[in-house]
Amino acid sequence: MKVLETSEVCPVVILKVMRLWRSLTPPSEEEIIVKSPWEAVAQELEKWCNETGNEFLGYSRDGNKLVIKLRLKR
Amino acid sequence: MGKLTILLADNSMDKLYHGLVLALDARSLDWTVKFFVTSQAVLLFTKKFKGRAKLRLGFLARLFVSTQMKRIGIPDAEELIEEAIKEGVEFFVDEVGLKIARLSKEDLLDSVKLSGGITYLKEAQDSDVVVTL
Repeated sequence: MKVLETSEVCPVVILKVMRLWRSLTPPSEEEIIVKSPWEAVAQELEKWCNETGNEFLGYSRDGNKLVIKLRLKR
Repeated sequence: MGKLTILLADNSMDKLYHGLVLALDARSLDWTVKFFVTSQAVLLFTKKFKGRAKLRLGFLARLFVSTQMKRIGIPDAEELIEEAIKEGVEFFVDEVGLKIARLSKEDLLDSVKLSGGITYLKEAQDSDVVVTL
């Protein structure tokens, strides 16, 4: 499982997740974890998943970071 | 698939930054993005200025905001412009604004095209979301 640990702002994080998603060879699925100190990233990724057919698996907290789980689908 | 058209007519850092964030977010949703730049903002898309926009604050406040941006890892506008171009955001600069600044097409960043009002209106007419900054 890939872990994307970053302190970058929302659009940059989403850009990185999108590039990971695009790099998958269809048909395939991959779970990834995004660790971010930015509160809005979870909400933004959830909406991004809904719009692009990926799956938002929820998030938890680890100290000052959100740990967000996604299932990327191509 | 959606389409976003942005019109940026101001050279402030705030407006440029918000425009670039919206453009990148829209591309991450696979929307088509047309980003029009006019008036003083044309300078931001030249090789000389490369997104170096103005923070309209006093010296100390500007220094504070710049330091904070670096500290919390906010990328600079130049970096966001590069990412936006890489992701397929199409940038158009108003030719009149460029001429007023005594600049030409050769002074623009690579991939930035020239346009006029009709191009903007036609793209805006055909868009799901139009944002003017």
